[in-house]
This record gives sequence, structure tokens and C-alpha cells, in this order.
Amino acid sequence: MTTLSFSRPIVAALALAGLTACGGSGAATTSSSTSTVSATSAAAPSTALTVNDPWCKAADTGMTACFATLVNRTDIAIQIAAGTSPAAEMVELHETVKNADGQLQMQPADGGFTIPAGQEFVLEPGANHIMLMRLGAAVRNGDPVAITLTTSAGPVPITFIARTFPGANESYQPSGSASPGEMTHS
Amino acid sequence: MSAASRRAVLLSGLAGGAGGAALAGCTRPAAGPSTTDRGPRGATGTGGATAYHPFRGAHQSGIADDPQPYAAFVAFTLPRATGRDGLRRLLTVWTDDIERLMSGRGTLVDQEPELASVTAQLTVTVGIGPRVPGLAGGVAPHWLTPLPGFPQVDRLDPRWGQADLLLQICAHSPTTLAHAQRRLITAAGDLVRLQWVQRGFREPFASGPGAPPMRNLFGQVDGTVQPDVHGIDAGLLWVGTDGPTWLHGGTGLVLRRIAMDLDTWDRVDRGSRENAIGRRLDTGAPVTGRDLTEAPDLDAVDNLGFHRIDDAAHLRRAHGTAPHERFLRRPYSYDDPPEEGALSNSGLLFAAYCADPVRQFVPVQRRLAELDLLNLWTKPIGSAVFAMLPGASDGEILGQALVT
Repeated sequence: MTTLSFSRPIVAALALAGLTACGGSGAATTSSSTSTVSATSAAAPSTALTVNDPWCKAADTGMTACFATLVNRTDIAIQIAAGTSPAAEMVELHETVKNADGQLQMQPADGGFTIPAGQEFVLEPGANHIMLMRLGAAVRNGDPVAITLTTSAGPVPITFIARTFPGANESYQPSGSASPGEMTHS
Repeated sequence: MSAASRRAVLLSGLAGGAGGAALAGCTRPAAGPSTTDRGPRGATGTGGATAYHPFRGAHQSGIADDPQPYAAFVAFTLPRATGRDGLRRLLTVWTDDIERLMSGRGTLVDQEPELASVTAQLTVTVGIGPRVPGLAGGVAPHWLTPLPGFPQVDRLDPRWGQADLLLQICAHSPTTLAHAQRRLITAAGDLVRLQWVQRGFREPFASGPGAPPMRNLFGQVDGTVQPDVHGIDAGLLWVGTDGPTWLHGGTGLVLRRIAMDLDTWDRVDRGSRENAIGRRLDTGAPVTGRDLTEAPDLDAVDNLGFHRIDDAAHLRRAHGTAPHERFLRRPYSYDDPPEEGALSNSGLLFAAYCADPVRQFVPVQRRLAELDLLNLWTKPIGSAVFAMLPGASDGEILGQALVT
């Protein structure tokens, strides 16, 4: 459990159970708090997976990265296989590894992400993340970003919030490429 | 001790820190707390590292509650092309960050969330300047405009002038404050340009419930007479139904940077200093009385027939001539590095809150500009007016009614 997300899983769990967690029927009106709510309450495609603190790095063009804490609330592993987003032509699931020069480099995660039963899976700068490639328009600070994850527990729609962030600049190793690409998250 | 403060102490049995934050978020009625529920929660005792203020409610925190000892007023300019969309995005980002920071959590993009864990009664209070309601397609209250000039005294430096947005950040810990300030400035990204930062302080060992009013750097007790904003004078502070809908529950802030010349003040003996303000230096009582809270006797004369409270004394000149000429003061001292060749660079961040600064504050300031012995040693060098937004209810962003 990361410090960033403490206290949120409690809220999410209540929402899952159909309880009024914070007395707020209007709780879904801000994009910042929608993130959790929409991921957990949208027609229950997946009450198996909850999503805390989803956000994307704001970017003018090209590509960007998105982060969140995914929580598997079931007793079997959940596989995240892929994703789609109206904001980008392509969505990839990335891991960050050290390359031959000892530098951190991101690359597509073979087989996607696996979240063990009852466990959290943290997507964060410098580590695992969701990559939006070939953005259709600028992802602007404060804008909502819709991404639907394809999982073994069904589709999980998530509203991320775009945020200005100076980090997450690891170089990109495209799938099947021998040398690092020139594109970065920024 | 105010009623609100007593309630705060009663609430101090609630868990502080993270647990307390969850309580604050989830155990209140949906309508949010009433105005009288303000005040810090959590451990308010010595240190109070985990004491925190609620973010959500009818009013923003940081106005009617007891001033914390450290403050930063951070002002921003909006880019020329900003419209409602940009404002909505900015206030979306700031609302989420402020709510997290006030409850002791790092922001969404925080890489040093440990610095947020000491809440220290952090409050971040958001205000907007005269241009902003129009940019959002709303109507500004008539008073949301730079103050009229007071040419007798004003020596305004544009460096400390009017801005589009204000973050008032206050805390019992300067580290907590610095982290919140840094996170909120960077969170805004290219939505704003930083215009100025004014940092202030009060005596940390005389802050909190039941504390006496602050002493400014002239040694004077300041902020003695205050309206009862938790009681019968609430209407003097909060904008009501006669103001724009988006500002109901908000207030006006007049922020004036008053340079105080400590070097010439040093030449003045204590008797003359007391005469200048009309109050005793030791107790803060009016020179006609013994207790701090005693009403001044403006008619009292000495054996020569002169008013005991000088005709030009600050107390007399600032005294309201009508019941509405009152406002909540929450001043902070500043003591910045002296300019080259100078020995001091000190003064007061005069912060006055009221529902209508033109009606409530300007008449008082006009009298002081015309005549006030303190003008010999003080000089307004900055002035700005902001509409401090109403509080955000559950699910809302700050300024929701203006930008959505």
C-alpha cells in the first residue's frame, strides 16, 4: 500500500458495496474524484478491480504515461491484457527495466500485468505504467482522460485526470526495436 | 476561547492524521458542516502535528478560524487567453491537491508525500481577482476591483499589486507550508504565471484558541477589536444572497502590504508610541482603560482638556463610525532581508475579510489616510483585493458555480 492512496481503498470498498461512502450523491461530479467512483461503480463491469488515484502526465503531442493503484478484490489473479482510449490511437502496458547501459528504460510488458488475488498493483513513474501512444489531441492539465482496461474480470473503464508532471521521462524501447526510441513521455 | 475553538478541543479525541482524515471525509452529513463547525480537528495539543482543518464545508477554512503562525500569500496571473475551461481545469487540480494536503496526504503527483504528513492545521484558501469572474462568463461583485487610491499615504509598488488568483496558505509548520506551496505552484503548470509571494508570521507561542491578539513588529497588540463572525456579525463576513450566486458563502479579502519603518520608530519613546496608537503597549488596553477588551472612552479628557485618546490616534481614526464599518482582521508580520544599505525590511501583511470591502473597509481606510499618527512610520506599498471563494461541498470543486 502506498502512502499516496491510503484511506481511498476504504471509500472505494464502500462504494463497491453500494453504500453511500461520503454522503455525496454528487460525488461523481468532479473529474478528480470521479476516477475512483467511475472505475468502481460504472455498471459493475468489474467490482473485482478497484482503481485508486488514477492520473496521466499532461502532454501536448505524441505519447504520455498514466498511473494508478489497481486493487484486486477477488481471490483469483486478474490479468490486465490491454487498454483502449479515445485519447490515443494505441494503448500499451509498459514496464520499466534497466537496459544494457544500466539506464532505466520502458518497454511493453509481455503478457500485460498480473495482479495476484487480493493484492495491489501500483502503476507509478519510473515503474509499471499505461502508455498512451499517438495522442489525438493535447492531454491538458486538469482534463479527464478515459481509458478502458481489458481484463480477465471484464472491461474496466477508468477516468484518469491529466496532471502537469516534470518526471516520467524514461526513454522508450519500442517493441521489437534494437535501439531506444527517441520519444519520451514529455 | 471562541465557541468554535471549544468545539475543536472537544473533537480532539478523534484520531489525527490519516484516520482522522478519513473521518472528516466520510462521517459528516452530506450538507457539510455549518459555519460553527469550523476549527481544527485531531490532536490540537502541544505540537499538534496531526491537527487538521476540514476542507469541505459552506466556507473555506483559513478565514474565520484562529490564525496559524505561518502564512504565505501566493498570487498568480492568468494567461491572456484563459477562459472558463482553463479556470475549471485549474480549480479541479487545486481542489484535489488542497483536499489531500489539508488531510495529510501527498498530492496525486507528489513524490515527497512524507512532507505532507504533518498537517499542522494547514489551510489553503483560494481567492480570485477582478478579471476572473468575467473570464468565466460570470458577474463580479461591484467591490471586486482595486481599492481607490489613498494618495496621502499610498506608495504602492506594482510588484505587490493586484493579481488574478490568490492562494493563502497557513500552517503551524513552515515545512508543511513550504511543501504545500511548492506542490500547488507546480500543479498549476502553464495554467498560471506566478506573480508574487508574500510570507508572514505571527508569534508561534501565542497562537491558537484563547491566544491574545498578535503583536506587530512595532510591539503593538494588533487585531484587538474583531466582529463576532461566528455569531451575530456573520453577515459582515460572508457574502449573502445580495451578492453573486457563485460567491454565496465566500468573502472579500483586502491584502495590503504595509512597510513599517523600524528605524525611525526606534527614536520614539514609549509614551509617544502609546499616544500614536491610543493603546497601552503592555496590555493592549485603550489608554483610557485597563483591559484589552475594554471599550475605549473616546470622550475622556485630561486635566488640560485634551482628549486622552489623541485626536489623531490610530484607535480613534480606525474606530467605526457606523456598525457596518467593521471587518475581520488576520494580519501577519513580515521581516524580509533588508535592501542594500538598509537595516530593516519589515512590516505587516494587513489582511481584512468582509462581505463588501468598499462599504465596510474603504471608509475606515479613508479616515486613516487623512489622519493617523501611525502614518509617520508606516507606508502601504502593496494592495490587492480578492473574492475568496465559498467552500466546496462533497463532490464539488472550488468555484464550481462559477466555472461549470
